[in-house]
Amino acid sequence: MSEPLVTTEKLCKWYGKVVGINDFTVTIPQGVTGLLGPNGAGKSTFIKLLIGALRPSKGTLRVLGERVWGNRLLLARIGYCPEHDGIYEDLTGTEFVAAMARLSGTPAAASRKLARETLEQLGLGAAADRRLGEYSKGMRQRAKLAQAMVHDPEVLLLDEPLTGCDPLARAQITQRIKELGKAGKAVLVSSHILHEVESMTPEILLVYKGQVLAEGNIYRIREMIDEHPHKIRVACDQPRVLAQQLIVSPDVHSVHFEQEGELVLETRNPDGCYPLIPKLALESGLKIRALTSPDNNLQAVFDYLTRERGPEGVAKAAVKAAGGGAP
Amino acid sequence: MTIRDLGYKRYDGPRLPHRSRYRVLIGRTLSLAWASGLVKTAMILGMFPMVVCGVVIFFKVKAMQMIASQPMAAAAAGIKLDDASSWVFYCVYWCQLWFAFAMSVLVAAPAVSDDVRTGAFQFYFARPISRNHYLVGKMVPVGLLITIVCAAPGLALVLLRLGLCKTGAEAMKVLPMLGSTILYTLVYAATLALPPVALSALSRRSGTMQGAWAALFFFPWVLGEGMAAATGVSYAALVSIPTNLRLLGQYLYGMEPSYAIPWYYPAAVLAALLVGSAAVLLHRLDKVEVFT
Repeated sequence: MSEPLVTTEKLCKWYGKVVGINDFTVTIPQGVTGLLGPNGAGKSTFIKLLIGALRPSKGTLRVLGERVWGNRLLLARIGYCPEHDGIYEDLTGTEFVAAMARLSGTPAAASRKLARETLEQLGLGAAADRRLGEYSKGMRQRAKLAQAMVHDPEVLLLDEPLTGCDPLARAQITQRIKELGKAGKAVLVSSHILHEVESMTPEILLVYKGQVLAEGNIYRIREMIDEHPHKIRVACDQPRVLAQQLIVSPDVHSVHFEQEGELVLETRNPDGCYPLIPKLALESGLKIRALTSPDNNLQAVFDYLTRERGPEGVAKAAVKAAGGGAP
Repeated sequence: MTIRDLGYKRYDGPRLPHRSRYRVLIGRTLSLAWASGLVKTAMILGMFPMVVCGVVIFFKVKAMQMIASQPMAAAAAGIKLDDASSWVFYCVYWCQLWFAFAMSVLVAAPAVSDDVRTGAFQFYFARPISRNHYLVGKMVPVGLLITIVCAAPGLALVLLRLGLCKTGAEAMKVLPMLGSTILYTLVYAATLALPPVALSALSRRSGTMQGAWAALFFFPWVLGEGMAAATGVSYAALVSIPTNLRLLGQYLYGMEPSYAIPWYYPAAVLAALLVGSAAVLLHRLDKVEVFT
């Protein structure tokens, strides 16, 4: 069984009186994992702890089974794409990426070659010899991504890698991240844009106000949120007729109509409801065009977990979601 | 602009040992420093005093050699052939001080704070380089640039003086000045390199640290010399970095010191300054966290 990418135990980071992250206890498996949360949630703090740029205030942290702070050998196995630019603007793209490769131990000649190849892969081949100061935001973002990948690390920690990229570049970087995951790389990618993460991986770590709200598979997490009814959208030819039959079922909590030819029902027992809908439609001679769940996406999970409930509510949700077993 | 899918290719090439990493940092720091027009100007202008002092030494030695070749006349005039050390000291201390100080403000004082401010730390310390690699990568180029400004003119003048020697005995008399100059300029360069780099590790504001270094350099100088003159307590002048350098240089070049203070006092003050600076720097880098 492979070593988890990250294991933490009651990990805390405080900046003076400000809490960066608080009581983080997580196990992140290999593969691609999305680190998700709004701005200021603690995503960047967590990633900086993972690369040893910050020292934990309390708790334990291991990456690939090794301690992090001051562990140079571990850092040779990690590629990090920071959120902020901090790029020397007088360097060309190739010089910058090659210098970073050399700092990771790649010989000078190979570094230059690898730098060019990596920039080419990320669509910066034509701009490789231009100074970074002349790069657009999206190009700088890709140059940072290139320096993270250039030395072929086992682990990629990408802090908001899609910021500033145009939609095409976003799609292609997303594809690249998925490919790296398939190639056996462990990738932790942070974002506050939910659909971006969802398009990369179903495995997420949801953080909010410095706390872990949820970790694991997005669909499994949704199942565990039992305090909110599960929504099912049914597109059929006679939604009102179907609604009349559904509402008498004890499993159905409510029914309402959002669009023409569609009804949305809420249930606390989705496993009982999903077979019931086609059964009733068949008995009544109704035609169902589509059966979907608007809840099975990250936005819904995120909304449920981070809805304005105050600190107690967040803590309660965190306990429930991170607790793992009990739905 | 599109991303070309060239597929993932594993890198199977060699990996260099960790100890080689500081070379990249040295090269980077040197190229950054050299990109500054002010640094180039300080380096170039810093060579002019050497030219002037060289011309003076050349004619002075030639004249002295002419007079010394007529022992009767030399004895009558009370002129002895000297090693021109006063001119070397004058050049190294009084002339180069300003250029070396300018170099320390331009290169040393922002050395670490610039990296913190620009966010370069987040790239460096996410790599397998230690704080010590970083320290060597910063101190070597900073020290090298300041040493060039401090030492090159002095060494050139000593070599000129040696080249002007007409006899082996004269050369043997001048030769100790080479050792004095090497020792003095090394202490000199270290004093102008290490404390400002340590200061730069205390803040991310390069300008503030440059100002702090200038204040630390000049304010105690004026204060110490002023107090020594006003109170007659010559030890008060030891609070000044330039005064300590001057006293040490005067002892090393065999000149009359400005204050009647034993040589080990300025030596101890400068040693304490260097050790303290190194301790601060190491402590700060050991604790450094990347908040960018």
